[in-house]
Amino acid sequence: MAPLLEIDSLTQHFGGLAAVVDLHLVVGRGELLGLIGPNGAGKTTVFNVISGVLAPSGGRVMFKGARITGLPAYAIIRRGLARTFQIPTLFSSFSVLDNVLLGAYSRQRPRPADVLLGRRAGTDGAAARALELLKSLRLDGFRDERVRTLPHGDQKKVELAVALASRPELLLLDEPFAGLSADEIEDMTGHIRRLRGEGVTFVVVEHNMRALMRIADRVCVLNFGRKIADGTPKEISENLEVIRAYLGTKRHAAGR
Amino acid sequence: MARALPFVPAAFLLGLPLFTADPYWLHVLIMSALNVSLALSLRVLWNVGVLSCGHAALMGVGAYTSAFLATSVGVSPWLGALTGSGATIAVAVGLGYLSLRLRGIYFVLVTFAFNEVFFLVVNRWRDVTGGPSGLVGIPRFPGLPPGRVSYYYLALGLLALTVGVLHRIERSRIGVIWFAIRDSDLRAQCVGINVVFYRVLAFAVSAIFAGAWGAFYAHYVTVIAPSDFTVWQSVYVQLYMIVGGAAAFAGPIIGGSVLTIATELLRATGPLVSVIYGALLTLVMLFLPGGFVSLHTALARVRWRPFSRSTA
Repeated sequence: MAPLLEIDSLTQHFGGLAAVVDLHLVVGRGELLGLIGPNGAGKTTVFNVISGVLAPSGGRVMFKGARITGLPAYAIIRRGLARTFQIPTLFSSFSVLDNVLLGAYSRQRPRPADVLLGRRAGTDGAAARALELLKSLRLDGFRDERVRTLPHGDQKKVELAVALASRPELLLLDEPFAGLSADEIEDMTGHIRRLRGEGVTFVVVEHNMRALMRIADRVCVLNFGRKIADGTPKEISENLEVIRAYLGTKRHAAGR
Repeated sequence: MARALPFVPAAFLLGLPLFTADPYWLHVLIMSALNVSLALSLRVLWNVGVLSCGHAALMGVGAYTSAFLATSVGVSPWLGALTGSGATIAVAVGLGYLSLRLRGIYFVLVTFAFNEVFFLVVNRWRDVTGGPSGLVGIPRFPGLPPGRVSYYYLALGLLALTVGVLHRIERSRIGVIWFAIRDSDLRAQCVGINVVFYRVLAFAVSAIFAGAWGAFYAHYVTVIAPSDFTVWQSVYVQLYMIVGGAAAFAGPIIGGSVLTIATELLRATGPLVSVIYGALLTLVMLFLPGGFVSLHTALARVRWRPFSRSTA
């Protein structure tokens, strides 16, 4: 069986700058791959290419055995590949529920009758599913709050809910733990574990090594756009090149 | 209580002809309904984050299609108006599909050029459009009682339809998707929205009403000429929308009616009308950048300033 995601000799130039160079990466179904590296290593660029925000300078991305390189972002989501952003980029003047519903619309065209009657929730059960999703993330208490009034940690969870609303098989998380308190990290970790149990595959970009190493099956390290290591969390934290490029000392690798 | 509020002006407008049948004021109100509807339909595009300079041309497509069919082919104006609206949708979808990948000033320029091209075509294509002198002797809508009152009620009905349908759509899922695209089209792409499709849809919805009101206009004034559909007319529609306040649904309604009626009242001042009009618009933009609908928040700010200074 083909892997869920396969990145083949991916290259991305911005003018003279090579952000990603000849990257090969394979993600199997059900896996959680961590993607780490110093700032500017090309992690977010990789996400942008996979999710269709950027068209790569070279190489290709295969998802479920089909080439998705060059497809527009909305078409990639419909195939079951969603992402979150480093800084929550939600529609801040919308309610939490409306944000999640927007995520669900990618799978469902609005029905003309619902539109002419001004029914936002519609009659196709999208609202019920959105509420269920909010409940599973314990966000249902905020469903009618505007997103901009929520604390950062809850905004990150809404961002996750929006991505989940499109029912992805593969979810790319860009720094899901950034700016979260210890309790919130614990909470977010729990949700990611639960979603893995439900069959979602993850690629996670994260700087918080302790949190990432706890959930990752495998970690891939980028430096200046090149892959310098790929292995289990234990192998990575003992890899000398990785320590030199990114982790600094062993103490950092193990802790903070 | 707040829900009942729109019924007060509605009842007033419905009952007005019982008290006065002054054809001049009925005409002013009919033109207000036209301008309000044009501004409201232009706001549909504003909702997806683009401004169009071609609204008058879209209205012209509806007007010329229906008028040509009625004068040269003998098609009933009712059927002609439907055909005109349909033609307007076709033009908008074609133009939108080609140009709505562009944003900001680029789309404005494309629609500006579109309006100019439309003007040149109707100005030159004498066989169909009558050239600069336009089409004359356009039949009125058959079956309506003679006189202006019947057109007044037709305009009210069409206005109610325009307001009702656009309000419903804005409240629906499509409205949410439109606002999402306006907020950030990149982000909208990333939650799975086909941005170009929904922008073209907005353009088409906007165009239906421009075309339908164009046809209404042709069969109301019975004479149309290229000068009715210039870029300047498009700019006036923008003014109704922005001066009223594009952020709120009520904005174009207030802007379109207030400015249309104000223009008529100022007409008495003779050649000064443009000067006064221009000065008023400048004042509104300077002190009320959110348009008329932001008047109450602006007043609240004025009232609270001394207080906030003392706490600062």
